[in-house]
Amino acid sequence: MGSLSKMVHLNPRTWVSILFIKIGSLLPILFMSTLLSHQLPAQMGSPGHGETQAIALHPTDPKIIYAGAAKGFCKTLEGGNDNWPVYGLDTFSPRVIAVSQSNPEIIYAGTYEMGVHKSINGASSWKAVNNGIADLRIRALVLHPQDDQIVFAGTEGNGVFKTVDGGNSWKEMNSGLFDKVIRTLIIDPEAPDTLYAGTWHGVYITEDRAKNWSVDPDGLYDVDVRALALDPTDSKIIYAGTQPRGVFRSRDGGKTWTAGAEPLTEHIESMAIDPANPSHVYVGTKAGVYISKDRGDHFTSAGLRWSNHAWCLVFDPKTSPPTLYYGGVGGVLKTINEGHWWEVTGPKIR
Amino acid sequence: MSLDRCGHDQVGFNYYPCYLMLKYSIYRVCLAVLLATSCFACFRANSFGNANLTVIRCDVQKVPAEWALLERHLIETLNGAGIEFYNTYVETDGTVRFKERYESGMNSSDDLYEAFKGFSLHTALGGSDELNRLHLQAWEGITRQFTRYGQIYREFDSNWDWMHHGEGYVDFYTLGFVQPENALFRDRSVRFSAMFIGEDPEAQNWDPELKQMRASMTGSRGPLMEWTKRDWIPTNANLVYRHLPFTDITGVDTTSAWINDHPGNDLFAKIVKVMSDRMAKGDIPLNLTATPLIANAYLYTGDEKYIQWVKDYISRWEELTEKNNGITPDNVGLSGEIGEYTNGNWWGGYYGWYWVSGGSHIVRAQLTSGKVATTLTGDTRWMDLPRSQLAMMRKNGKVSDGEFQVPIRYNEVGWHHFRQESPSDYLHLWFMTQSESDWAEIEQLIEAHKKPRGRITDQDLEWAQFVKGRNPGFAERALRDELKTVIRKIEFIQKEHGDPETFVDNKWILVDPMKLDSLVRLSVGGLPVKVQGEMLYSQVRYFDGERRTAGLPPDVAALVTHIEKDLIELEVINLNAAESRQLVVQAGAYGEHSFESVAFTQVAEVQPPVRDVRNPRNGMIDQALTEVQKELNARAFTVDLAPGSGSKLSIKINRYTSQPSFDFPWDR
Repeated sequence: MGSLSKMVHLNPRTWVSILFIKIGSLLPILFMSTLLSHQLPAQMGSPGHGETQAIALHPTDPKIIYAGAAKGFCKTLEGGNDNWPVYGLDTFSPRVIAVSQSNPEIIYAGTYEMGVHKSINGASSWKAVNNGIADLRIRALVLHPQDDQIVFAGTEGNGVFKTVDGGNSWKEMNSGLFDKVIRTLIIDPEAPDTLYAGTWHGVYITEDRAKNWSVDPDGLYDVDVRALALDPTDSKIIYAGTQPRGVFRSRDGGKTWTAGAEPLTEHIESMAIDPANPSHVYVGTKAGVYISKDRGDHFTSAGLRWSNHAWCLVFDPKTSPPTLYYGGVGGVLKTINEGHWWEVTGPKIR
Repeated sequence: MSLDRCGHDQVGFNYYPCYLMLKYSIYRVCLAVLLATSCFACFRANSFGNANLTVIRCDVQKVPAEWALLERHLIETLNGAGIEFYNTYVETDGTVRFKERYESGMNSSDDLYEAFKGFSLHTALGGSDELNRLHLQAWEGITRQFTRYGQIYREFDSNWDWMHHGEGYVDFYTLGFVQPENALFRDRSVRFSAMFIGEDPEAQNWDPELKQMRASMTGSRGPLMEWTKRDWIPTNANLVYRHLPFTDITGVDTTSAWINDHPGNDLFAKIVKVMSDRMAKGDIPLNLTATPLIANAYLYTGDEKYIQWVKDYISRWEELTEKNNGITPDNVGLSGEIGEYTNGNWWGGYYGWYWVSGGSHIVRAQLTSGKVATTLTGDTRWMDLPRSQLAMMRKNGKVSDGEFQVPIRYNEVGWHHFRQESPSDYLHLWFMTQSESDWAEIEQLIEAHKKPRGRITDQDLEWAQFVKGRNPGFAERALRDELKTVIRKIEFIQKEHGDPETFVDNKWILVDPMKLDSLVRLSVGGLPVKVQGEMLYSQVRYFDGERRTAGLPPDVAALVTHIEKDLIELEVINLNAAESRQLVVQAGAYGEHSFESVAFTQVAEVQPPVRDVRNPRNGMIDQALTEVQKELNARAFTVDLAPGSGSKLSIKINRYTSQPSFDFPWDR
């Protein structure tokens, strides 16, 4: 910006003429050129300054963790012991994250109302990839485990979309999907043509990469399915967290479902299975985290009973014992002892 | 009829109607009514008997200075910023885009209210009337929203500490500046005050016998004598970073314990229980932050009982301080005993000497109440309590790495956490007293700050230097910086596409674009309205004489350039070259001072022969000017600003001579 004071002295006639016009219209141009490059300072820490809705892990490095938080897309290189620096999408509320297992530089983030964003450089920069997506309210994202150009996106009201070219274009994949309100999507890593969609009214299954979906009226139907989780040792075993009927279990790839012996009545938001002990099922609710040690029949508290939200639960199988990460009101928290003790992540406490 | 504090007759009586009454008895009744009405009107209009304000005319054409252009541009930018903020974050019904369902415990509504603290204040300084309208709408919306969440009850926070009440009600205190006649908020002000002065049976927060508060958490449901986990959700998630002083509890670390509530080892419950036992009952110095709420009721109503309450309450803390050998105790029990719940210790209370922020909150609460009492009573001795604590901390100070530092925390090991003295504390003392000795402290702090840095970086000190004529260019720098900040905030707001369900309560404070510190400092010579329950204090306040509204008239800029105990100097300019403006200048934010006289420059009545020779410096035709001095003896006067004209005004001021009020100058 040219110095305003110099302009006052060098060009007095200009100012005389300014007296006749509205001052407010003059100066923005002078200021904007230098200011556009400024950003608001990154907010401190993960806990606080907004809730964390998504957590994703680097396929090989346990210290690299990604989080979708109110303050943006966060990435820690220090296992969460840093400030959880923001890597863009700072005003978009990224709420689902999918990381390529073969090339972790490729990351997809689904946002609250701004569609899918893709990074090919480990979140250093982002590009919106929404060509063909009719609903930018993204609720779920899954990558094909062997081909990171194939991505499925679940939306809040327009069903499922699929890209086979890394997000350059998307196609609606709703054949047979009568409920377009997608809560969650999971893919069978052993049979990746098979996906499960948790919807407002039950679990839909596809066995042909989302070309056709089906729902069994005698299966898990007409219930709000908030979360789905696969047994990491046997992908035919699936758990569904429902609202308000608790956790259901299927042992045959979603064909039949059994309710738990004592249904969990809390409002379910997320689920995770302990990779070291697959009979241990964790459920995130609006009243904390619960654990079942008998595959979903009975649940007891695993702490965080104060938490109003447990948006996501993610196990890191790379650590020993596996670390359970929680994303919610307190930012990102973690436990390695069944929730008896949770640790905060974020900057070292003063 | 009564006398004001100068001893002037407040009625301004005209004896001629009395003579008529005697002579023409037929008109006696009618005239008596007329007389009574006019007496009342005079009483309301002006303490010096002038229904009309003295008018001075400033007609010297000016090339607008850089500060004036920047100031007007900042005002316009803030107008837009406020609307941008409102449109992005507020629904049409005034509720804020936030969670559908929210168990907020004691926390949160304060942050939402606080995010609007700049709206009405900006209108009061000269911003758009629309911002005040939006603020009122948001206030109603937030109140409804948090009533639904369960935190607000009877339109006031159910229970919370005065740190947070103070933050939450800073916006409430600005409403009277713009609409002193607003009956709804006047009533609310009275009702809310009643909760703290013992007049509300449902909220017995005040012990009238001991003249102290009954709990550290107070509100519309009365004192909260016992705390539970429910009260501290979701605040607990943030407390992990605070390192609160409970290191003596066996098996508890004061960080992660806040989030660990496994049924087998509920540390969260344990820490809340201990905290409650030690800190819930009885009074703490932080509660002095309630005094602005009470003052607010006075400013609307003029009811002396509010002044008495403020004096009683501060006196109680003075008494406790004296009893504790000159150190303000940070807790006093329900029986009036110091250390009643802290093993007899004068430290260890909520927001007390052992709290994370230590004595800084105690001193700030004392400064807050001292400023209130000084303004209401006109007696600067009410600043003695915070001054005594600053002196006490200084006495326990030490030199570390060549820098003098004072301790802010105390526990069984003694004084610790040494820090450089806060310039802001001393600035508030000086601002209220204008005493030479308080100014000498500022001078010392300026020198201390210069040492390590080579220059002053503290905005408060920079401004203090400016108003003593020692910091040229500060006004332009400060306004430019503020503009940059506001523009950055607007840019951020415009990119907002976040999920309201993930927002936390302080979201809007972080985003709030209404940055008014520079406007307050520079245009009205005031102390920026910070959090923790501050009211506005300023040398002057402006009104638009034509529109009869609060704030600078359109196109008018003002800059307070010099402050002394008995003199202030300000520059005013009308940037509109086609239309004149009527600027009303009031002494003090609440008319608590009075102006003795004003000296300014006018175009001389007799002009030399016209020579169409323009001044090469400013391109204008030179005019013969004359210095004029006008007696005022009033709380306010009007400046008739001719198109494109301005002047420096040197105003002799008598401080704390009048009863403060929200009423507009022409209504007093």
